[in-house]
Amino acid sequence: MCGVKENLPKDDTEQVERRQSQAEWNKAWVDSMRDFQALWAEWFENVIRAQSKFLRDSGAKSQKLMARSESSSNEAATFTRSKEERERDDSNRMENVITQMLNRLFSFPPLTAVSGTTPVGVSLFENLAKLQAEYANLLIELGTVTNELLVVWYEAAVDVGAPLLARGFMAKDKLLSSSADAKELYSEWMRNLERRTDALLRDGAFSARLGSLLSRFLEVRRRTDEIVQEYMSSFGFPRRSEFDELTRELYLLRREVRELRREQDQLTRTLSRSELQSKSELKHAKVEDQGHGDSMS
Amino acid sequence: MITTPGRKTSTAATTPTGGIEGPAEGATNSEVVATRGRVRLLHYMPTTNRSLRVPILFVYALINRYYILDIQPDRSVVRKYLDRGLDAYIIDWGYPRRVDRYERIEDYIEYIDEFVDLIRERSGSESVNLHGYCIGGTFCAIYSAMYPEKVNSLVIQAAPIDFSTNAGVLNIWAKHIDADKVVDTLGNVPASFLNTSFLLVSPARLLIDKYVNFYENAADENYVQSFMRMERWIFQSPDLTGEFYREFIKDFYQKNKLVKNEFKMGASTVDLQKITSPLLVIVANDDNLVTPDSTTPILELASSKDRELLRFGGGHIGMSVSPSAHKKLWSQAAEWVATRSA
Repeated sequence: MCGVKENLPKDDTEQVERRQSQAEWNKAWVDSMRDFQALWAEWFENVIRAQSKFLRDSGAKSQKLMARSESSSNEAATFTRSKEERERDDSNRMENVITQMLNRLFSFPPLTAVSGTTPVGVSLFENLAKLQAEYANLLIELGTVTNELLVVWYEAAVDVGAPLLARGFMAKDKLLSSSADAKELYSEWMRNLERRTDALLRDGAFSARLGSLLSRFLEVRRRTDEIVQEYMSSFGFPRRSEFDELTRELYLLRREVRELRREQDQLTRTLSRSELQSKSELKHAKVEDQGHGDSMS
Repeated sequence: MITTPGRKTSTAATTPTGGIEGPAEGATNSEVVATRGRVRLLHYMPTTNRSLRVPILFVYALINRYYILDIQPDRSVVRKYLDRGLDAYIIDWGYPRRVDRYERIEDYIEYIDEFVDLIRERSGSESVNLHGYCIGGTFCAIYSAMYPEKVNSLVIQAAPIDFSTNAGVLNIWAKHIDADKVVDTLGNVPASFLNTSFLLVSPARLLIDKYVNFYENAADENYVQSFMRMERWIFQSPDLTGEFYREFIKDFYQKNKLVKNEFKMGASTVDLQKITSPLLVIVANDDNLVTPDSTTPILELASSKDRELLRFGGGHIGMSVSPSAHKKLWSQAAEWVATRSA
């Protein structure tokens, strides 16, 4: 390799270095994506497993919790702590992976070409990496918001269902005795759910989180658009910003036309009025002349 | 201005396949009397021998379609006015395209002004009655402040005027929205985004309970027809022009410029005190989109000597389409306008 390099002209050497660097970039990016996907799959599987377990055990758990006395509270504390610890570990791990991925991608020397312009392929990879990071942020935010809504759902169900469970209502031989019972149960659940949902939606912190979620979604959308447009612009397609400039010109022209039309209408009305006035004055003058003429003859 | 006089809109009753009865847009016969790009001015065919001198112009909101005021023959606000002898017009804001994304509040006020001038010319009346619903009511309030000489009477129905209240969920959420980011990324604000926001205002009721009730009443054909008409109306919504959205969120929801006399249109500041025409305000007590305390402040801000407030027990849309509203509320409102239109 070294021998080959010495024999090449200066420009070609730089090209080779750039290609080598780009190959390393590609590999780093692919490795990071593979890591991220594996972690995401594991996290998602954990969430699904945890949710299934919660649903399966909720009936028994709520009975146990209600029947438990103060002295047995350690069991719940242990359960809670381990669940919290698990969630914290998952979150830290995802954050570490994202950090590792970004570090790996951006630890290489900057891929600026000799001429000073960034090749489309290089900036595309940069943008894709940033997009991936934003997408991960979006999913975390979305997961948090969804979680909060799900908590409200579960709490409403437990509020309504727990007293029934305590009375052994859901035992096989004591099913809901009539459709009126079911309707009453449904109405109570709906009222409970509406009340809790309303309280959550009015909470300032939750509203701020919704705003943040929207911003993250828009950021992902913006970066995706940029990537697509950058790629398409290399084929000569105009960007959306160029269309928007044209649209704005068109809008300003339309406003100007409207103004001119309004002035024209105004002038037309004024002219019509003054024409009418002149005609009527002329007619009046003629009538007077005729009258004088008659009297003179 | 491109005028297309006399083109009647469809009023077909039933579909060949037994689909939803009623016309695609509104229950009452109307004709298009003017168009400005996507925006149309419709004139309703009279249902009586017209006796009142001053016509009425309905200005609906930019969200969803105008024909909520004329959704079916027995629940039509427009028809109540027509039956009372008023000559009625309505603005159809149409479906904005990307090329319309720079339209702002000022442009919508200009549309209204141009249509008001046309109606005055057609009817020979020096002024018109205005009936504004929701954001249309905000537009009518602004218009009446800018051109008080052209307004005979003003009806404000569930219109947001004062945005400082936190009684409505939308008021709370709007304070956390980065409107610049929304518009710069999306251009026009998509109808799907707006629909999702409105559904989230009361998700339990709108996503679950509504359909449970539908299932329970599925055997009632009238119920099903009414339900499907409403569903079609809800999901037929147009996009919002980007610059209007930016202005409405930032200047109104976040800075509340209208009631502070800080909202400018061109070189002029909009001053609601310049409203001098008779004023009727209609609010719904259970309105969770535009709460009554957002609308009623106009009664204090306007300089009208002839003022009245009508309260209805339902919700934002229910006040226009529920059977109970059409028993009393709309006859009262039509009577109020008619007595000032002779």
